[in-house]
Amino acid sequence: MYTPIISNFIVALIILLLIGFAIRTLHRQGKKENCASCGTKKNSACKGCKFADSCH
Amino acid sequence: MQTIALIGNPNCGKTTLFNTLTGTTAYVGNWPGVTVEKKEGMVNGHRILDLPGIYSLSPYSPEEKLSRRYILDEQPDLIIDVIDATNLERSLYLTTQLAELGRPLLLALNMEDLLEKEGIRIDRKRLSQMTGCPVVQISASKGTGIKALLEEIERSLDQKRLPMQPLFSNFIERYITTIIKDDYLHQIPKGRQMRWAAIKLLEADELFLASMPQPPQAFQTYIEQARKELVEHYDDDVQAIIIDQRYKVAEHIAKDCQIRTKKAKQFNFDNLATSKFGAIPLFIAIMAAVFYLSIGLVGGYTTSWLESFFAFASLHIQVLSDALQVHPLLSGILVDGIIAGVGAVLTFVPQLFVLFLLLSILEDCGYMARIAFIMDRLMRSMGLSGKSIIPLVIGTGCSVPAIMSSRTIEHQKQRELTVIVTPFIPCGAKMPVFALMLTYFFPGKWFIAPLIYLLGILAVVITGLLARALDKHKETNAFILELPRYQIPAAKNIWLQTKDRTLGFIQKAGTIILLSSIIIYLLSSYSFTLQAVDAELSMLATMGRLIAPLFAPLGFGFWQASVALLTGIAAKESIVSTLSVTIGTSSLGSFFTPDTALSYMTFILLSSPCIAAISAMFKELGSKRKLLFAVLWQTGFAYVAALLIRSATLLLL
Repeated sequence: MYTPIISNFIVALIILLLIGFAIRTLHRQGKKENCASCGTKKNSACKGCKFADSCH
Repeated sequence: MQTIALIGNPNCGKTTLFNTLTGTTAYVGNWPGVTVEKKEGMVNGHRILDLPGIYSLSPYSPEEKLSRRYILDEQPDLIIDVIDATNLERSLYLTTQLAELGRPLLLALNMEDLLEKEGIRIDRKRLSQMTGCPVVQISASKGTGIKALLEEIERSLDQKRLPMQPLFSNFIERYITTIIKDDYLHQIPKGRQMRWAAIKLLEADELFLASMPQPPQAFQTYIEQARKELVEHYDDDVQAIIIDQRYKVAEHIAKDCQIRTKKAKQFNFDNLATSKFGAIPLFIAIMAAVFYLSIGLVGGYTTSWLESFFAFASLHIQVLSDALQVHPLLSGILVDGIIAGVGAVLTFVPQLFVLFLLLSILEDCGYMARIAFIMDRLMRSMGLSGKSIIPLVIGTGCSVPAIMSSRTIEHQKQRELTVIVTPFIPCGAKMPVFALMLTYFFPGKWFIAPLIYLLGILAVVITGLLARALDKHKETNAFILELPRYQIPAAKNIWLQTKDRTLGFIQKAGTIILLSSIIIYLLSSYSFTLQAVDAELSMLATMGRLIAPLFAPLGFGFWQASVALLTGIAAKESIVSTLSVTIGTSSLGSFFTPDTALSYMTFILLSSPCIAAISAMFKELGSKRKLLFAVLWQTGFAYVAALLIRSATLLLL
């Protein structure tokens, strides 16, 4: 009786996790490609930063 | 925290040294002009900047302006002049200018590993005495001498020893001395040195003059008189005289510090690679081999394996979902949306890995710079700069950095034209579409892949010629590209480039493609009344049918192809996932024929690029009107080309 509920819950969870992961990665990527990547933290460097002209 | 600036001639290894010092992985290429903007990192608690490579501080190109502006305005605590030790004299020309800036200077003689091979020995002690700068010999790529360099950096930052000023002939020096004594020179912007300012005044350096107030009449007359006398004495213009004087200083130092023992005889591959008749056929042969290995050989095996794997996974997950009574909406999203869409794109990872690997090897060994050399004349004859080839080569990976690299082109019109034509070169994201179509409609005919590149180049040529014909001013400029020496590709560079490109592709599959596959699945499964319907009655089909008639003359006037083109605006790989979700790759034959497949590939190749590249175009063009023109031109060109290709294929087949 509970099997379909649990299965649906698991599949929905997998889909939501995948969507969440995709959105989070895109968000991080967006951050990385703007001025935030031009910080002075250790080992940081502008990786082909599109905004480098105005970053520094 | 103190600031260190890395500066030097193009392709002398600044970025490699920057990566070694900071532990970062900025892109390194074996050609001049890879770094077009400054990069920043940290070393031993100091801020370090990698500046674009320059030959002089007389700014002719945007990257030279950037480097000069940075050094003059930001006043770094230490300048590390990265010198290609095998090209000492030419590198010292820039050193003579850096010495006048009044900042501590450290000479890093890079590429020490090549010195022995070239039969050169450098007397570092003598070089240090003659320039007044500490000298360290290193190999940034091999990592030798880095410890000594780090120690010397600390010492130089503590001591703040200034370099010696290069002296010119007495005839020029007396003018410089008189100018320095004048009160007007006290008005120079903060941080500029008197001697440097005096030379810039004599040279009539426009950027410097713009930063100064109007000189008093008497001083102005003196400067003009001095220029006139210099021109009469040397029979040349003042800028050329100063250049000559600097080269004499550089030559003198190099002669005194460099001992050439022998030069090993080497087979000169350039006799073939840059020859008038052999170069282009060799380039085509090399590119054909690259595609044969990646798409033909590796793709031939791996695509079918991976397709079988994803089909197997889909089938079993669907069976399991049915058995566990998972709601059709959820199982549909998972199987027909995510696995079908993302799986279709991931199928091409192995062949793209090999393609990226081979292109990286060609770049790193120095061959790609030869292509720039070969294409220079052709490019200039059609209104592009010889430098345009650099964005076009980078464009084989991704159009975004390629469009950005067009900044190195001095002339605005040539730069804008390059921005417009760069997306014609097939980027890595378009490859899965071509590989998909080639696999299904032209099995075994791997030679079509290099023809796609040739078609892209042809589009560049036609656009260039048209722009040239319409341009009244016909700007031309000389392209000075130093051919980098051939080298065995550095495994680290190759790996980093290939890994970055491949991971970027996989990451796109896990992000944009995944999200777009879910949206496409939902739109193709539901009607506007949110009823589960057959795909033909879905929202997506309705939307696709609105634009599909536009593509009927090209042979793909069905909604699935049209919506795939629309999703391609987000990312070109989405075209594959959308076709996979709406049609299913195995059913492509029911919708496309070889002629329409070719027409579809042509349209995708030449039409406007993805949204990321469009925003890069906007940034470089700097105007909405120009961007609109560019997008309309690319799409219009793609439409006509696809129509012609289809007609020609129908006639031939």
